[in-house]
Amino acid sequence: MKIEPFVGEPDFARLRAQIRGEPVDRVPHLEALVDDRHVEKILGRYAGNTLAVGGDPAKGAEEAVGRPMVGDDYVEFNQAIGQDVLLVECFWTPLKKRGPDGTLAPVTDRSVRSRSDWEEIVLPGEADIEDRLQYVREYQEAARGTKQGVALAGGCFFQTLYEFTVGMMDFMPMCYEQRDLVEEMLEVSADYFAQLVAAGVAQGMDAFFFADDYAWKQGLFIPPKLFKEIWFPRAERVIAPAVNAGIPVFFHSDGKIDETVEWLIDIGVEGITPMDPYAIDYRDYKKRFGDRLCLFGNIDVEFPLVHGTPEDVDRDVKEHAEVLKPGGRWVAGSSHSITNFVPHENFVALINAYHRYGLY
Amino acid sequence: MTIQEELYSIVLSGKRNEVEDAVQRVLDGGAAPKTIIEGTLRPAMNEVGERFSRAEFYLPDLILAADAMKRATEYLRPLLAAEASAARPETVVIGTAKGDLHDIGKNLVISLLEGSGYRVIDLGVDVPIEKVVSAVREHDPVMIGFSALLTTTMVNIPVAIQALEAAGLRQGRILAVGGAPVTQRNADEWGVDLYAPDAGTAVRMLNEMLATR
Repeated sequence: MKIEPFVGEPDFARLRAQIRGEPVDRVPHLEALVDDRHVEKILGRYAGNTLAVGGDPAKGAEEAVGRPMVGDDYVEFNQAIGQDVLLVECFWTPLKKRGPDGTLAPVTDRSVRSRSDWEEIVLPGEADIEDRLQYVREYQEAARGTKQGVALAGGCFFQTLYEFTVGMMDFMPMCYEQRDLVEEMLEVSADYFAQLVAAGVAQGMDAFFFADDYAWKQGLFIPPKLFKEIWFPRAERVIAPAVNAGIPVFFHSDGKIDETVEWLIDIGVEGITPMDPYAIDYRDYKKRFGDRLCLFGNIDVEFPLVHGTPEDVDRDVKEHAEVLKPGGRWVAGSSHSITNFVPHENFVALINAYHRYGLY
Repeated sequence: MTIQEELYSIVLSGKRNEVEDAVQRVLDGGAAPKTIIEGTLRPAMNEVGERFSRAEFYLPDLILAADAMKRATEYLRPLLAAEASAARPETVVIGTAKGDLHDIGKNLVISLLEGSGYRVIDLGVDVPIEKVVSAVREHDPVMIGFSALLTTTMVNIPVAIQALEAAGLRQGRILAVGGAPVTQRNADEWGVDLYAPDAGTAVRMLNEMLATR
């Protein structure tokens, strides 16, 4: 099973137009992560995955460990599947701590429980910004001569704290019991991303894929009123450089985000991804937000992508297209990622179905 | 408000720093430790779990209440030594699927299980199948719980279940699964007894299953 010929070469203008409800030739599609075995089958050689791990052994895989996919590989992959943008991963706030030997290492051990722990943290600096920008430049150079765009993907200023810095079991109570400290950490975390987005804009990036998980299947992690107070002003600050420059911002959180969608629109977000199928009815979202917000994703990774057949995948995309395509503002995609556990024939069927049912 | 109602309210509202004083006041009022656990603390935790399942409580509420319950139980533990333990005799073994480093969901379930008085053996994350088998052999749990956040790792859950069956350790135990990509459909495919969409429901279902045994 192969990717069938499709209408319209990869073109960032298509993605931008669709986000804004303007006419396009076909529905664009976007996956943040396509895992390495799928990439290898498409390209015919190993090239890592599309998000955070890259490197073609032929180009020196040893050196490529810990860096994103090589730009040329990514561009070629996008050309093959018809995807319009390359994503430069910038998920986590680079908070670091000095070890006993004096070397700096990212904080991933959830060891910050108090203000004194926090005061030991080495905050992000210009080198951390440059660490991400180098890949924006590399991808722009690789995309030269094509119509593909380059976007930063990340900004987890809240999630970094509960995943790595403090840990969920301590961070959540901290939101009630030590709100001052939580706000101080969020401020530092948001500051880094605000600077990174501004630098990305100055570098000429085409979009910002803003990601910061704050919900689960039943709703927000913390009460909406508190969340609105501590997260939204900072989120607005993070994306402001892009919004002010007219660069599209689309936002990712898994889970049920109903209470926050209007707030996201208010701060300038133009799209939401991935419309978690366990929490969101895409038909309902199309009715409620489809004329103001671009809707991404929602093809369930579990079924049809992992457990279904290519025919199931085709049918599901068709059903989504019938509801989401009219009027635009739909970017096709999965409910999370194309992991290696997705049968490759289902990934190919997914891309073919996007192209088949996405024509205007 | 009675002193029992005050303790109930303190657990429900997650005021973990006030719970030991409240327990002492109930003890001073003449209540037996076992009565406090069964008559006040467990009902309070049941309500916490129910409110969380109904999305009326958020993660901080759940975690703080579970910690308040744990502190109250630990405060009472020395007093329980003389009488037949009021702590649940049942042990639960729980871990995250092999290959999966995510532990948020598992830790929430553990908080509620411990809050409800279960003895929990936490196998951690990325648990090798041999470790599950060995823990079940050693601790003889009533329930074995598996959690996964990734579609890529949840496939290791049925493999672990098969290993338990091959070792003759599956029979007579409740198998439970949960996690973002895991569904009732998966649970049915794998022959699992308990699937729950959230931590509160998981513990409530376990309580109900054990009550009808």
